Amino acid sequence: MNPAEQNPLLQSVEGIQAVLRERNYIADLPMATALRLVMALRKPLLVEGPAGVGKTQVAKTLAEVLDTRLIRLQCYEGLDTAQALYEWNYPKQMLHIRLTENSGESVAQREAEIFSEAYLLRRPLLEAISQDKPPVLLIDEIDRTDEEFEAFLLELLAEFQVTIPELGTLKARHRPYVILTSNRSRELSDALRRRCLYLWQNYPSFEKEVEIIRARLPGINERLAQKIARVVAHLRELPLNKAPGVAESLDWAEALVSLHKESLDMSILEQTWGVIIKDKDDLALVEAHKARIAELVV
Amino acid sequence: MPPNAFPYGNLLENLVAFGEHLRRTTQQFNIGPQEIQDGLRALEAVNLGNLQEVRQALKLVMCSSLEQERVFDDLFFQFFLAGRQRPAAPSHPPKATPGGPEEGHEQIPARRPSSPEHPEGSGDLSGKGRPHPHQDTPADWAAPLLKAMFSRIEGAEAPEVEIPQQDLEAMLQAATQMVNQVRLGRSRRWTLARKGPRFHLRRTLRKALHTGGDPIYPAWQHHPKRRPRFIFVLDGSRSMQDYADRLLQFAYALRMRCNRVEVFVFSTQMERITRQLEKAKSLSERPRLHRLGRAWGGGTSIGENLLRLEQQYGGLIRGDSIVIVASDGLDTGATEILELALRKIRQRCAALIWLNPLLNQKGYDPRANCMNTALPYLDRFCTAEDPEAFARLTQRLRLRK
Repeated sequence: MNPAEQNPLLQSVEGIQAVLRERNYIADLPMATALRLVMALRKPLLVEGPAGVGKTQVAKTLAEVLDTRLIRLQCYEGLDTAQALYEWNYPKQMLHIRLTENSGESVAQREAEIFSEAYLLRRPLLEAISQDKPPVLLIDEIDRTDEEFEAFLLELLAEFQVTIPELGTLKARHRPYVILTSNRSRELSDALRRRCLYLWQNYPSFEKEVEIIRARLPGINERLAQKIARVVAHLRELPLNKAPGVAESLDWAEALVSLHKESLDMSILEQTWGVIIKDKDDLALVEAHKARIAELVV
Repeated sequence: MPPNAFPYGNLLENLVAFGEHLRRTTQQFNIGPQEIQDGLRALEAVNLGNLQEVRQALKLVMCSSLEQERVFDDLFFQFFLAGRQRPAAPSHPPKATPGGPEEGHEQIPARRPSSPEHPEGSGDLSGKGRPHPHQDTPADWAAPLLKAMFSRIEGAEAPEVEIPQQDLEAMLQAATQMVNQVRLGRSRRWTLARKGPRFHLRRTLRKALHTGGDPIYPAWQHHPKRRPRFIFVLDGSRSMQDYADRLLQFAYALRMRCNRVEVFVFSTQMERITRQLEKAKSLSERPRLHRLGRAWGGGTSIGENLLRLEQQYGGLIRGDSIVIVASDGLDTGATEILELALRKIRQRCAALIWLNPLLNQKGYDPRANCMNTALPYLDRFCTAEDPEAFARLTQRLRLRK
């Protein structure tokens, strides 16, 4: 049974917003509609946007909502099928060849044995299509991989099947809910994009950011949450090398709560810059805009 | 969705016509039967009575990039709500107000005056019971198309630029030479090779089956060579008109010789012309570029356009990219923006080359204008007018990544 069909709340966009909110994820209409379509169309969702806007978090929350497994494939340059899809258990194969050396079996028989499922090491993508209950498959930072790997993904994302030369084509028992994220560090191919629903997720508005901070840190007072959101929104307008994302806002809010700070002033800001500004040039730029930031925290 | 928002008789016709509208208006969208089918399924999954949900669902299905997302809303409203004011889309869920409209629902006035046959609001959301467009007045049904034709996307002047064919063969050879002399080192991937530092275990094991499990015939893997990418950014402003033809010819030759090339032209605005060059490539005679709009023959905004390149197309500039900017640097804009753009582009790419055709002129001093700001960020500052000079562009070029 498809877990999305079991929950009537997941049959409408408003319901999805409510369910995600219960799990402290504030989804706007585009994100909630996207998740509704992921569940209805069973197509992969490609979420692009700057770092730290909650792209990865949405997959984690979706897995919680559906009460299913989250299988994550973290992409990096040089990632290949051996790490993403499957690998043969070579030591075990070697051992088997030695043990059956004098068994009288033909080469073809022995080959069929060592290239069977018993000798297969399942990596995240194969794991995702072999589950009894459809999992959420998060292919994180797809833009970090090479084009070759992206091309390899096409079969999986369109047909939900993979072809292993020795075993044939393995079809998904249940289609996983696939979410791909990208920071746009490189342009993805049209072929991959066409197989996905597309969502651009930008930094949240001031009101949404306050809501997110208060949802994730219920103990924080509203005034402090507003000041944090205001300062962070201003920082994002500056030409920083690394603009703070929602993740940084939350880290900063958590740091202030841990330090028992009920309000924000310039001295506290200077002590805690390191939580949101993570580049030497950016620190110098922020120093130059100190006067404007001081106005925001009054 | 407001009543009478669908111009055609049924949902399928509406979607097909909308897909056609997207394709024809911007040429950015690639809408095929799969997208139409997904659109239909998406509309089944959302509340058809909610304009925002319908728009969002179609956007998710029919857009595949940020650039498409940016123009989608305008095209959606042009098509479905022609002649009416576009509702303001809130960036966050609107707060419910007592007695106010239902959350997320947009109140749109009816599209056409009511008639006895088709009273206002009688058409349901799937378009059933609605008149066919051809039965209505032509002006009414032509409105979306006319609006699209005169939109800001299509409305700009569209000069036609011809790529010169003279000496093209020499330019093609120069492009090949230029691409071949870039040395980028090796990728982190492992691929099968005749010799290499690592075993290809699967193949080795398979071969070992024939020799009693002993890997007598090992197979090897190595890191393949990285191939360079080129981002060619051409200043098409009035002051560059004497040189632009030659530079455009080089961009065309480069695109013909290497498929990892992206080409942009800019004047006051910027256009990505890679696909146009590809299409021109298939025409054997007189290849031309169309719809360059304000990216050709106008004033110059170098800094703004380079910053836009970095922000909007930053994903194209990678550690294996060589960015070539061809401009005379005659810009009166703020040098701070140019500096910021070049700093960011330099951080991303392997090398940044600036081709300035004025460098050949006697008495030209690059410190006299915005070139002074650009110079510290460049890996090579030179000029190129003939194929030999273009071929030397990457000669002994020191790459940073």
